[in-house]
Amino acid sequence: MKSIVIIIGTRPEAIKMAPVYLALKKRLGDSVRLVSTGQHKELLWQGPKFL
Amino acid sequence: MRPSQSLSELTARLLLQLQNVFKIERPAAIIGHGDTTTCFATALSSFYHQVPFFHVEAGLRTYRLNSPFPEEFNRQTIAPLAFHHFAPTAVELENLMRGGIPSRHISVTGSTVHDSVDYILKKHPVEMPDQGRNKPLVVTTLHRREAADSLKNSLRGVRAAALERSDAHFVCPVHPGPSVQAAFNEVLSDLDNVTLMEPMEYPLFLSLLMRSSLVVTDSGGVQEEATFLGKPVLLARQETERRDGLESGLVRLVGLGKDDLQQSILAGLRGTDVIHPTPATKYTPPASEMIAEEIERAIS
Repeated sequence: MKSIVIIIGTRPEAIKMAPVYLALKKRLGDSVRLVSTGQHKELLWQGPKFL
Repeated sequence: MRPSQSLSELTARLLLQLQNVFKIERPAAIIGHGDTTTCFATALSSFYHQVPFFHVEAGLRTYRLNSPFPEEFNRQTIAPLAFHHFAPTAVELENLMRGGIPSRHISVTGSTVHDSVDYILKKHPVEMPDQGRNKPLVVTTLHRREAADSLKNSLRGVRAAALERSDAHFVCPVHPGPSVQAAFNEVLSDLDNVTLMEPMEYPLFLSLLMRSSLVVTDSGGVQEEATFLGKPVLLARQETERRDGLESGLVRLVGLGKDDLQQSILAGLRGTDVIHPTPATKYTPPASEMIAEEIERAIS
């Protein structure tokens, strides 16, 4: 199956897309990918870490 | 943020990076969020590679291309590139339709930030930061790009309010941008009842918001989070394109001026203003589930 890719780059995007990532993963499994562009490097991963 | 990263460099770098994602992943669908340069570059790349782009938090508009900069431009140019639009409320649905997007390509889902906050607060026990225990707490985050010139002026308003209300404590998570750091240090670092700190880990920041009496911010994201938690917000901007808290009266636009901010903070702390804490926003079906369902349907 082809992949579904979520692309984020800042902390707010990480926070707001984390639940979308989890919901998609529940439905579509490992074909769902999360890619970070590193637009705001140090702020980014604080969001998903807690989800 | 990378040191002095210009928008041109950022956009160029993003487009080249994203090209690799398309080459390696050969995606069936791409999903982006909001109005960042990342989202703009993602929508554009998706169009170049002819992969359907799904836009979360679509349809926000000020209709002033320069404000906020460059986010309003990003929003307006992402819209024609997107295959499907997830609008937080009927207001954004209307904005998109006004822009010529057919309603069958739009879903109204609510904001996914509510899912995040709800989830995190359930999963992580609330830990209270030590500063200003048992005192009225004012959480202050100010950093927007277009407000850079007036940032010091706004901070002088915070300073004046802090001097007058020495019984209240002001906590300021400060954005890592060097000019923002310099402004906070110059204007506020000598006051005992002001704590300047690094941006906090998210659950801790939510905890801080939960025990605050008043939130002073120029961030639309913080506006959403604070009003979801039922906190009054003074929004230091000329306008807001986000609906969260506006109807409930929790959000007051106060502009960027020193005197406006000072008076609004003092009034907010006195509780004599129109703003009062109300129960947190009603939590309706998870936006993220609705979004996932629509994407699954669209690609299968």
